[in-house]
Amino acid sequence: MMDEVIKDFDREKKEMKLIDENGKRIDGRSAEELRPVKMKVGVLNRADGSAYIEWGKNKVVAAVYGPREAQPRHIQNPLKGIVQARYNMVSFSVTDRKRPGPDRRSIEISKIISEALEAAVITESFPRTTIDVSMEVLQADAGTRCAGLTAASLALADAGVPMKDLVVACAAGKVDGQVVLDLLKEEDNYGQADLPVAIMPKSEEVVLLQMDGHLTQEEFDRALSMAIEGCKKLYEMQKEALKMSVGGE
Amino acid sequence: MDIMSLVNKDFIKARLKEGKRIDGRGFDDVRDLEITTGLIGTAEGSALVRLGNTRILVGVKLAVDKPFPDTPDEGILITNAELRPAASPTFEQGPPNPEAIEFARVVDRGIREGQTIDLKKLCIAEGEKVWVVFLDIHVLDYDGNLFDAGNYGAVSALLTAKVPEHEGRESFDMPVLHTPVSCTFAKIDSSLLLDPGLEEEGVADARLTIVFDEEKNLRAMQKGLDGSFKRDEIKELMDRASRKSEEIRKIIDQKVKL
Amino acid sequence: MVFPGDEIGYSEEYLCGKGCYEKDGRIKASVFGEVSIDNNNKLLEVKPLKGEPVILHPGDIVFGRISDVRSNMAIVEIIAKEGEEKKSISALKNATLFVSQISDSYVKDISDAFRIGDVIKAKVLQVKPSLQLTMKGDNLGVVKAFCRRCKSTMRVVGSRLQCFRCKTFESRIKISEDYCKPIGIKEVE
Repeated sequence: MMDEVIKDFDREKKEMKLIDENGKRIDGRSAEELRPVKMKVGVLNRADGSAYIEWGKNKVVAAVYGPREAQPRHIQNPLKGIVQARYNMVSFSVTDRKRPGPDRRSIEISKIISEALEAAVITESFPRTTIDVSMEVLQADAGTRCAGLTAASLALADAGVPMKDLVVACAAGKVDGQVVLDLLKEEDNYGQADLPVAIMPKSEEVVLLQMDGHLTQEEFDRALSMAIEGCKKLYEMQKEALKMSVGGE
Repeated sequence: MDIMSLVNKDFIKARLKEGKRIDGRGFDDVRDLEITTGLIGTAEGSALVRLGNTRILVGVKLAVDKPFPDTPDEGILITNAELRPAASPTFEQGPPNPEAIEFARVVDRGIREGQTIDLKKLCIAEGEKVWVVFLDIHVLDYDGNLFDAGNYGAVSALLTAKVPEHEGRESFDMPVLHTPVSCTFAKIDSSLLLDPGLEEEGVADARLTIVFDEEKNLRAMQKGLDGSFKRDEIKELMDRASRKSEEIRKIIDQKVKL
Repeated sequence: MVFPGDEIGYSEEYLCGKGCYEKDGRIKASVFGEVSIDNNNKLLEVKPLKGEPVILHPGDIVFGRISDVRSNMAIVEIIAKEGEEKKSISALKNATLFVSQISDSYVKDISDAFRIGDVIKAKVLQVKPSLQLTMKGDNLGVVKAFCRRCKSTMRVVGSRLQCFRCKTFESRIKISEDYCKPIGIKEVE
């Protein structure tokens, strides 16, 4: 029984064409094209800073509290503040309801996002404090960690937390043997590789990088460049969203 | 009681003695209520509720499972609430605390006992397969009175939910029988206030939630906090809730139809 | 408008003020805001366009709660900064207030000034190496006190405090003119 299911799925995988003869992907994008992205800064009333992002079918809201005194006291660092990011998928954000609460995947993502943000935040100004960053994925369609991190960086800017740079994230990957930007769900599920990357856009320093699947070194180089180009486009949108939030053009 | 509430308590009470609420509302005034449905494509039904500055997102998910042995021909309703740290500086990471569980259960009771959903219509094969309705309430921004916002969101999400197709059976609208509407009052000294805001909630002695259906039948109640109500106060609140729930139902109906 | 990471000047030419940081001889913005150049003092700053974390500075007015009273000082837990009552305080919240900082006149016994649980309005005296407060100055002092016996709120009667409920009198050396006023509530008529 199980064997047959696996065989069926494998066949489905092989048969599913993700890029057509004209080089168009299933949603009509070209290889280097991002999904449509919208960002808004300052969407919540209570949080010290907040932002909302719609990226393709992903919908993520990010909220920042702090810097504020870190509790319990043993997690305090007397020399600098800490960043505690919490990535959470709402139970109805995916096709099959997700059980509420953290799982191993969201704990890992929270950890690497905390570290990516900590690279940018000037934590030395806030010893013994914590900066709590919540990312709530309301609707998911592959790329939620990139959407969450990009929104989180805007929420930090909204809170006025000093940073060396914004942080912006985007994935590239391999689908039907081709390197493409910004995988959507079907491409993520049936593609050959996924490479989420976050950078500080001014310096292009990489603050988050994961990869799974199968890539040659040449393909990796190309995917990384593509992801960084994607990040730069998103960075322009981040700046635009910040301007809009203060009544800018 | 948190320290801010402790400091502000006497001020809020003194104003109430003069018949004034701190945000200028009348005792029976509900804050601005906005409801947007269908925002979440991955859910079978969803509603974003804004009640003043309180914001709640409710999602309905459906799954097929075995019925409970004592109700072999009925679908199953499971309600869950998450008070995530994004919504308030006082909400902490971790499994639902007693507040979140009470909140989920009070909303659940209103929906369940209000027979909002015709659970019999959610039976696929008696004794074998039924639809499970997961009602997930997600607080995004907390500024008081989660109970009512949760109820309005749950009702709106269910009214617009679709049961998906399953093994050849076509998709159909969620079978909704009644629309129970919740009214929550805070008691501060002798003042009884509908739809308490965060500051009012913080200093409240007692709280009473009353859920009425459209035929003015009581469907659920919950008294909370360590204060008490006199019998005639309960009677008074019943009258007020019965009147207000009708007004609020009109708002919900209107928003959901749009 | 500048964004975090934008270069706004050279370290050789300017001093790096608020809202910026130095790296490799360059001054860069650390917040989203507008550049302000003080050519007299050769100072570059970025004035934030969004909120700012609440960092306490000498002179700031704060609300705090007495958490301990010792022989020559009180320990105060900061609740909020005046004007930004709903924002997180971006530092440790424990402060000290020495007996010499209660009033301009000599205070013999600190327990005439506070009891544990009192809420005070005070001014930040110093931030480093430790957070210290003073109650010297107009309008500073106790803003809320609770009856020793029944924990009810005390009200001001003449120059003393009287319990709402059990009518006992207590005194505090310095009572603020803002006694019993709300904190962080914007009233709508």
